[in-house]
Parts: sequence; structure tokens; C-alpha cells
Amino acid sequence: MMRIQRYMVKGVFMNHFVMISLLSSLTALSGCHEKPIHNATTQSTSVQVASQHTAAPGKPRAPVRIEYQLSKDIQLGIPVIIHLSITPLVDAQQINLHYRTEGDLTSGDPQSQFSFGPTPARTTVQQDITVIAQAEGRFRVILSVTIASHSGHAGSRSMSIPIVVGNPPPTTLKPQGTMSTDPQGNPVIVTPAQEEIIKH
Amino acid sequence: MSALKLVIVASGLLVLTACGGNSVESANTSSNSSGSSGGVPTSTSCGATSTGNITLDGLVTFQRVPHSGYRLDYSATYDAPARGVTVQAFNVDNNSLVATVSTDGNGNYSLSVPNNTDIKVRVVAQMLRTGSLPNWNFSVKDNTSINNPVYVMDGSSSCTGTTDETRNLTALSGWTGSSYTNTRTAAPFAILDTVYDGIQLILTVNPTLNFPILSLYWSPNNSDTSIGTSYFDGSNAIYLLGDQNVDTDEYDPSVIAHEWGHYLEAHFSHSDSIGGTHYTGDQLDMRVAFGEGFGNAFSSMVRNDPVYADSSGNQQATGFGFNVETETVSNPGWYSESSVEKILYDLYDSTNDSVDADTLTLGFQPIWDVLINEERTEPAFTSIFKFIDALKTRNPNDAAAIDALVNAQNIHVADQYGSGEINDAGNSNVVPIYNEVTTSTPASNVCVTNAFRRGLGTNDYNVLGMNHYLRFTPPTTGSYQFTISSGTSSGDPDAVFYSDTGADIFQSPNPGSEIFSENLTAGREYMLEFDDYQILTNTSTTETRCYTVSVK
Repeated sequence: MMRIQRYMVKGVFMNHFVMISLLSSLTALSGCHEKPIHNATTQSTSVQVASQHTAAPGKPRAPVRIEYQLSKDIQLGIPVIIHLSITPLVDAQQINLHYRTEGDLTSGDPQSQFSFGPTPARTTVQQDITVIAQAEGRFRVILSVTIASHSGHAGSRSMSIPIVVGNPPPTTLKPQGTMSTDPQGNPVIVTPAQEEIIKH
Repeated sequence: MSALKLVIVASGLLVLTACGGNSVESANTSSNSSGSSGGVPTSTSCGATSTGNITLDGLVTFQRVPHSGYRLDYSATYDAPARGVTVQAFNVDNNSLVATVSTDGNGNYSLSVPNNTDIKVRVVAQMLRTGSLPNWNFSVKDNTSINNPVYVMDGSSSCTGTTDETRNLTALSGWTGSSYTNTRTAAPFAILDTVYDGIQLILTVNPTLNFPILSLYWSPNNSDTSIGTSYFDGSNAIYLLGDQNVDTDEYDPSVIAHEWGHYLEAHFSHSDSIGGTHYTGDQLDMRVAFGEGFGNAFSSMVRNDPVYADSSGNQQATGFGFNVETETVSNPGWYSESSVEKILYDLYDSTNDSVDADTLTLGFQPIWDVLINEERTEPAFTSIFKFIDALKTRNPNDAAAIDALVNAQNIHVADQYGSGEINDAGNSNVVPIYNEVTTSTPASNVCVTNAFRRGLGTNDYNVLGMNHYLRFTPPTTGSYQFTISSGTSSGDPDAVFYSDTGADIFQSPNPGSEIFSENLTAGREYMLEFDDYQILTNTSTTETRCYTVSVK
């Protein structure tokens, strides 16, 4: 009997449901414990996990679910539509969407802000946006969605959509300071202080 | 000698003057001092012989960016004391550590260092206490650099002369009007400052606690596409976002305290939360609801502020949040993290209100007592039922007031299992919350449903109704076979059994049933849960399926 443990890494669901579930994939990336799921093609699975069943759900989120799907692979100079699905999880008086692009990824839309009227909880509104890559590289589309509820409360959520055009080299992360070691050999990253010296 | 102030800005400009009778010292605050080797400068020299020690003291501060509403307000940035952080003095000439101390509760430090010596003050983004209890070791590190270095803030290398002196160091935010264009030196110290507040709260209930080591990983490179979100990893690390113009959390104490609460919960209490993304207003698996509601309430207790604020967006100018004291809970109940956080905070705080039937001011001790005792030892899954049941038992004189508080959230606590709960969230399949099964009496018509997911086309394994809970107490020690069956070929139940050694997961694809065996100890109560794979993955229709659970 083969024993296989599979976790609900949402890449699987991307295949199943076509729609890319960004939120879920992010959760998987974050190392959160996801609910195990079996592979329907296997015979049986049985696994044991730690008794301290601590999970890492992450910080609370504003009550809006945002999902996206790219219409096709991104190619240099060719407009690509990103289908956005926005689902408020509370009754929304208004939903405002704003997006912006980074670097050589430009917007192909005449506007970057969209508004939606009253939307019941768990009802999805759709919006397509268009982006055009002007060069190969790694870019992002930054979304910001604000929900105004009937009670007058507003909450915003921002997220990014990674866009890769061509075969760019991996991103080189810039450290916050200067890498070094202390006299005990411990790695440190040195940042500058503003300092005031007073002689007595 | 009259005091002379030399304010050194982060220009990296090197000013060298002679020591001995002169109050002007070298000035270099760049992160890599001139002539340094391995980050520790060696080029400067006092040109005199050390003949004794002087007192080197000072104040360590960091720029805190406060909230206005849920957004960050850079115009209100102020210097806050860096409390409890490690301060080191280095002899620059021989690259040796000559003194170490922690700042006090006001950010002050005092060191005895050699005179006539080139000394550099370094502030480490670490709170460390060893020796007699309490102990702790909290540090902020860069998870995106090799070897995960700890953040430090360096002052200049400067000759100490022969008289006492003061060196005040400030960590700047790096904000230059519209973005972070300079080094964000303050961020690690802002993060630690929330942990400092958390320590103070815990010490009020346990002054000799030994905190497990914890690394808080933060970087400007920590984005939603790299780490997902800010979270506690279930062990010894908290990851925090730092991606400006999308989501940063270094100035969101609400978030930091929430995650630190999960760290405490994991090490000193217990959680059965199954994780997953959660949103305010969700109707959740009760284990997730309790864990997240606790995190939110604990965050407010640490900060002594009922407002939870999480900034995000372009220039961190938007955000979201809630007020655990005054919020109106949509869908209140045992499945709501908002209900849980309101109850826990109302138990704690001194502000009573009739809307929530809050007449209690218990403080943190009774809450902590339940967390470190019954939450760990009682058999039921962690939930508001288990917590409140224990709290009432421990505080019988307050039981009626506690009941009133939870009733105001449409929760009714008869025992740790939620027996008799009448709030079914409009779906009769979710109560009773547990079914008890015996060798002679199966549990029948036990149902799971995807009716509470967050919308069609989604998969939400951690919402209310997706899992059903059962209890079993074996009459004798031995092997027992469990059968979860729909009675037909429809459905695909999967089970998790919480055994003596851990959580055993059973996921056969057999249509209509799941059968498994466990070796069990007489008299101990065991918990199990099951879901339905087909319902879990059905994104097009609302579906409910019921089973019979038997054991022999």
C-alpha cells in the first residue's frame, strides 16, 4: 500500500479550477500548514503529523477576496488581459479597485481606477485590466481594493501579481545594510545610526 | 569640560581629529566605516594609552511611524525609546567587544569602557536576557540574506578620551517624504518594541518565565509573493512583510503582537487550529476562529489598545482594521473570530459596556491560567467552548457574568464540547458540534457541508461545516476499527484521528467510506474529525453529505 502525503498546495487547484487562486498559493508559499488532501489516483494514504497541530494562518485579512487569471502568457509588446475577480466577504456599499504597474510593464487601460456599487457578501465582481511588457524582466502589478461596508467602515487590501516576461535572471535581492560578522563570528547586517556625542 | 554636541548624520563623512583634551571625535555613521575590515573599523586610533575606564552612557531611540486610522502617518513620526535592546561597545583597534548591556525601559544604557580608546557603539536588534529567570532571546533578522544575519545599528568609531561621555543613537525610518529611499534602520527596533510590550504583559502573570528563542524575520524584500503574508511558523520564527507600497508590517504593532500571541500559544498553551486564510466576518472552523480571535484579542491586550490597525498600499496610506471593543460582529457565534476576540478582550479590559453584556474586568491572569492549563490538558479541540468552560470552572463567582458575555455573541457554553449549542448559523448540519460514538451506538446522520465557503469557485477547507468532530472513549485498551460510511457509493470521507502519538490522517479514495484502525488506551477520550473530499473540492455547487460513524 503506497502511502503518500499531499498538501493542498494550490498549484494543484490552479489546474483543477483554472482560476489561479492567488490567496491560496500565497498561503502555500508562506509555509503555512495546509489541510492534507489525497490524490484520487492513489489507493490509500495514511500519515502521521505532530500532535501539536499548530498551524500558521497568518495575519487577519480585510474582508475581500481577490483572484486573478492571465488570459495568456506574457509576451514582449503584446497586450495581456488580467481577469480580476473580487469577492467582498461582507455586504459592500462600494468597492474601489486601483492598480499600478512597475518598471517596464505598462498599463494598457485608459484608467487605473474602477468602482463598483453595492455588492452583497460572497458575490463576485469582475474586472479586466490590460498590461503591456515593454521589456523582458520581472515586474509586478500592484492591486489595491477598498471595501466600504454598509456600516460605514472601510478596509483596504493590497497585493501584487508577479509578471515574468521572457527568461530574465533571478531577482537579486538588495540587503538593507552591509553584511558582516561580529567579533564572535555571528552574521550581522550593519545599518547606520544617527548619533549624537556629548563629552562631559 | 563643557559639553559639546556633535550631531552626526548618516552622511558617511569622516572627520578625524586628535583625542586627548579635545571634545570633537570622529564622525562616521555609514554602515561600513572607513578602513573597516569585516564591518569593524580599525583605521582610527586615539594616539594615547588607555589608563583606565570611563562611563559611556546614552539613549537609544528609533523613529516610530504611528497610525492615523489604519494608515501610517509619516508626518507624525517621533523618536521612541528602544527598550531592552542589546548595546555593545567595540574597541575598534583590536576588533574586540569590551562591554555589553541592555537598554532599560526608557532606552538608556551605561557602559564602562577603556579611556583613550577608539570605541564604537553598536545596538543589536536583539532582546536577550540570560541567567536567572525570566530568560528570553528575541532578535530581528534578515531572512533574505545568506546566514540570516541579525540587524545591528552602528555608531561612529570615536576616541573616548579621559572623561565620561554620552552617545545617543537613533535609528531612522529611511522615509524621505514619499518613499523609503534611505536605509530603514528603525524597522527592526520598531518590531522588537512590540515584543517588549508583550514580555511586560506576560511577566505580570509569570515573572519567571523562560521564553523559547524566537527569530523575527523582516526585510524590505519580504513581499506577498515571497513570504505570502506575515505569520508565525508554528515553531521559533515570525515572518513579517516589508514591501513598501504594497504591505509593510514593521510599524503595525497590531500584526506583530498578533503573531507573537501565536508564538506564546504554541509554546505555552495549545492550538488545534487547522490554519488557512481567514478574513474578518468569516464563519470558520471553530478551532481557527478561536486561534485567530485569541491572536487579535491578545494583540490589543499587549498594546492596551482595542484598535487593530494594519497599514498597506501605496505609501502605506491605506489599510484595514477593527475595534475589538466596539465592532459590530456580523454572524456572531462560536465560529467567528470576531466574537472570540470581543469576548476575550471584554474579559480582560476594564471598560464595561452593556451592548456586549460586559460587566467583567478579570485582567490577564485568569486568561493565562486557562491557556497554560486546560487548553493543554483537556481533550476537546481548542475552541471558545473549551476556553470558557475552563474559565467558568476556575472562576465560579463570575460564571453568570461570563455566560452573559458569551451569550451576547450568541454562544452558549455548557461544557468544553459545546453540548447543547443552539446557534447553528442557519444550517442544522453544524450542530451538534461533536457527536459521541461508542462501540454499541454509532453516530448517525453526521454531516459535512460546503455551505459556508467564501463564494463559488473557491476552496475553503477551514470554514464552518467542512469538518465534523467526534469523540470516542474506549472501554478497554486495544485496537479499534472506525468506519465512516455514507451507506452508498457517493462521497469520499477523509479522517484525522488524534491518537496518543499524533494526528493520524486517513485519506483513501474508496467511494462512500473511510475505514481505519487505531490502538487506544482505555478511559482516555479521543477526538477525530472527518471531511468529504468531493465536497471540499466542489466549487460549483453547494453540497451537504451525511455519514454514519461506527467503531468496533
